[in-house]
Amino acid sequence: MPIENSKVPISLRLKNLSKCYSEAGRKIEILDNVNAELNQGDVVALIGKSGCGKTTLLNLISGIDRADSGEIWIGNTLLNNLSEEELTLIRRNRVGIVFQFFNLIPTLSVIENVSLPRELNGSQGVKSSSNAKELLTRVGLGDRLNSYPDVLSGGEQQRVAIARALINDPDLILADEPTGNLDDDTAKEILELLLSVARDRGKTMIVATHSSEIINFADKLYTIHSGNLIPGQSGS
Amino acid sequence: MNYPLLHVSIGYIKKHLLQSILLLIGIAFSVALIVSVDIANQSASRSFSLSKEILSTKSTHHILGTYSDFDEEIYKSLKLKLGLKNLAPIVEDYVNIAELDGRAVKLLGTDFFADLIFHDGQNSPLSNLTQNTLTELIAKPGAALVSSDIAQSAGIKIGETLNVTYGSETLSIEIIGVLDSQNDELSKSLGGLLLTDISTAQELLGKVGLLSQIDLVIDEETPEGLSALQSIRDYLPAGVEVKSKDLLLGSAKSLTRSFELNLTALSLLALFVGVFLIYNIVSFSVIQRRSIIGTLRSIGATRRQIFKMIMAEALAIGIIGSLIGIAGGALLGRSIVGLVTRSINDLYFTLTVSNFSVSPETIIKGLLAGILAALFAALVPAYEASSFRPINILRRSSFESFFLKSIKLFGLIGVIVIALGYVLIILPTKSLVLSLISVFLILFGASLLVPISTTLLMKFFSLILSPMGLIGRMSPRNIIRSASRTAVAIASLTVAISVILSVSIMIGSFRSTVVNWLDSALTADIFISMDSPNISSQAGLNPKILDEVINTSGVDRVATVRRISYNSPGYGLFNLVAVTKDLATENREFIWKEMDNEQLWDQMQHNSILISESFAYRNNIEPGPAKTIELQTDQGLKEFDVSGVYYDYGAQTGVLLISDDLYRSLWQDDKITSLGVYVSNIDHIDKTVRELRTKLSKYSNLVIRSNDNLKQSAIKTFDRTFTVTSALRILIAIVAFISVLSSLMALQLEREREFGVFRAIGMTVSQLRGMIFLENGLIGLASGLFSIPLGVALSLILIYVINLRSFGWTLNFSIEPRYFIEAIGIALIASIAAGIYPAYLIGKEDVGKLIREE
Repeated sequence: MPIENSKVPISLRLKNLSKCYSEAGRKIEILDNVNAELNQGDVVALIGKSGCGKTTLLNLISGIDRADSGEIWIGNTLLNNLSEEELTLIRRNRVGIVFQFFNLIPTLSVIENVSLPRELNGSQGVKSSSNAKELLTRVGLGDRLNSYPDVLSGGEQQRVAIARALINDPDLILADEPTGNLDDDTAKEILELLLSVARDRGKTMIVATHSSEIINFADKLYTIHSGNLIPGQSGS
Repeated sequence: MNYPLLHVSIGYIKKHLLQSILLLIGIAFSVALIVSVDIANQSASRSFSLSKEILSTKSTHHILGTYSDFDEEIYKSLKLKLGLKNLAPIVEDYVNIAELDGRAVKLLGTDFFADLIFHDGQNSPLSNLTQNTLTELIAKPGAALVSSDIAQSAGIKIGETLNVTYGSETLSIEIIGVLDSQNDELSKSLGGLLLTDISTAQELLGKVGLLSQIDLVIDEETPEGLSALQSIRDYLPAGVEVKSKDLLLGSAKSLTRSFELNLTALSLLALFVGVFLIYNIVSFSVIQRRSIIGTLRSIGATRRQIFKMIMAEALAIGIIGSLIGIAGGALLGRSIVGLVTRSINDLYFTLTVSNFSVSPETIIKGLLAGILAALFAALVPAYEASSFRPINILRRSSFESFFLKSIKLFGLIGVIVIALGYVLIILPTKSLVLSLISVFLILFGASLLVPISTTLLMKFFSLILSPMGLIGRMSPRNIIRSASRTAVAIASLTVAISVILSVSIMIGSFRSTVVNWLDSALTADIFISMDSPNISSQAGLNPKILDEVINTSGVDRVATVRRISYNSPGYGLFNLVAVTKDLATENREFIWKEMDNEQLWDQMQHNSILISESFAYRNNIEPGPAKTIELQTDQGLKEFDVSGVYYDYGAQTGVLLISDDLYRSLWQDDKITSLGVYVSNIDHIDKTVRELRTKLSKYSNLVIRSNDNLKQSAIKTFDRTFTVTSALRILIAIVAFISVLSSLMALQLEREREFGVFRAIGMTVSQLRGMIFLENGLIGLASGLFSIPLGVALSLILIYVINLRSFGWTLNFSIEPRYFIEAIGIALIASIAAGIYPAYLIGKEDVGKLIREE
């Protein structure tokens, strides 16, 4: 199926999604027949115990991992039948990922880290750079453009990661425990930033988290329990 | 090491078996090279020693002529007049067996009733023979015993006739028995031997009334022995000397020492490259386990325990790798022994005994080399693992930043080490060991300069490659970021490639020098010589051939060459070469000569001689006037003026060139070693060659070749001499290849999490693979580029210092662009090949798993 670039109101649809792993000859059902539908601009909190399958679900949505059965739609694009190369392009252009451990590239400066997904598309030069600058100014790092990750604090690194996730103007932002590696005050700042950039730009965002803060601000809440995705109430 | 830490080590090794295997291969290869070269050197030396023990392992001394055989009356007098016992007279020379492609063997005749022969009792090679065989050996003309190796190779049986050539004559020898001994040593010494009664040998070799050697037993520790030795010395006429077997062995060893030392140095270079390999892999194993080590430190493991854990692993792998290397070296040694023996036959003296033995010393050397290299290379990584605080050991970057801060210091130390190496080279000494040490110092110093050079070069590449986009900018930076390992990988590849490059330049320069020399030295149109000449043989062509050649149509004039092996107390072993005018001064290139060619030749008719560069170098004769050389001749001791020193790349033992007339007037020798024929019409060379072949067909063992043909043959011999060097060069390249492969693979595999992140944020597999290959390509390119100045510098040392000190030859430095292309090509191939496996894995790895792990 060709990759489709048009944006549609329904941002993400999960249909009968299942995934299991084998461990020491034992089959472990991580996700069992999961269904969900998110509209454009939805901010979703995904909660559950450690190892319940939050990261697995985000990996399936981003195309990093493949489901055993079921369907994943991003907009009108069904991910199941896409090749590795096509999934990579989906990730690059339509999904922005924020990791718990920031995962910045140590040999690239702040602005280069942010420009990376765009430059992977072959886009170089002034436009790429000005977008990156704009995003970095937005996340409060306009004065650290040429710094390298190893001189930044954890909070600053996560800000860079957020800017990187937004550089290709994705449909969907996936944040996997984005505050899990930060102190409380910084975690709060980061969450506020994530929420504000997602809402300002009308992005759909799924945040896997333990943080009660985001649960309070999310539009939708999902809990993963025994492989099932259970809708819950949000705080807002 | 305590049990839990041992368990951690074993678990790690099991989990990362490929790394351990690469490490084992690296150590094993390095040790195998050292062991094989040592086996080859020791075997060649033992072969020489065995060839002197044919009749008895008990002989302690030999009486020998300085340049020729001596009167057999001396033997009788020693027995009768001096009352000496335990003597054995010997007549010997090298002959060639037609059935074995002209293989050189020793024809040796002795008196079977001499005291010394039977002293080894049951061990004697003659103890298995019947009395009838012995009687037949003495009574029957042309009867001989053959060593079992010849009998087997030639497929000859008792009662059959073996055709051997000596000079230009064919001798028919009837085989009446096969030699063997229960004594293993003696059995080995019998290789390549034809044993006859003394009178048979004298007749066959044209040495009636002469002896080549007398073996004797004298105990120098006792007053009686010393007194006997003195009385022998007093009795022997000029030109005949008594020498201890150890002294003879020592002088043979000193001749081949440079050759062997160079091979040993090459094998040590492989170990030098191997040390980089071990460092890389052990260092990588520390990095891979940083979280485990951090945890161990956090829960109370001391620095010493961590240090010991890493060192114990290195020790274990060092022992296993060395043992594998020793076994491999023994196998490899078999091939190298053949090559080394052949080179010694070409360059120094004829060896007919082919000995192969692995001594306990060789095994200990190999074991120690492997273990010490492993421990030495593991020191820094073990220190790295043990010296960081638990909080820091979790961060690789802390070591990298420490390393990057230290590169200027490394560079400074490198410059100092190189300067020290340079000082050693310019010291006024002829020590080969010092010059080899200086090579190692320069290589080590250059290795220390590699980190800073790499950083600068990569910054430059970063600018050059920036139009390629982020990957172009990022790849050079990644190399700098992991400098502690990329620089070591680049250093190991640089060292290996520079050694390969320098040896290539040296061999190329040597070859072009020899080609030029052959052009100037071989002026005749046609050459007639013995086929398969033996460097130690005094055999010559039948003098009648000269007249027949002169009277052949198309022949304008004929030049003669007589070469004898001369062993003088003052100048050691060298070749005395008597030539006629055409071959004396014309076209010869001189380092120094006292007068023009015509005057020189005139002087050579009276009392002047010319000496080769290697003879002058070996005997510390500075080219210049007022130098004389004293030689024993058949007319007594004579002093000759040295009127010129010329370039010569024939036998390394050195040449003393004398006019044919002067030689014949002082030595009673009418033999000719070879002829140089000048034709009246250059277009008829082939026709004249054919005519000469027809005319001289009645003589055996003759080879008649045109000038071109002889040059080709000489170049073939030259190339053969460097077969061992070339083989070692390839083996060094293999060790370097494994070193680079393992370190770059380790480097890329270590970055798998980073690669996972790239994949997660949208880098395609092909883009990632492109980045891996670009980085590896840059590493290869850097190594290739660094190896060029280093390789050229090393080649200059090899050519102008080591070669001169080893062989006494000055070579013309000659360089070809292809050497540089080859150097960069090998470096690029090795480094890019190292990227294949990580690039393959990129497509296979689970991205989710890669980015999750921390």
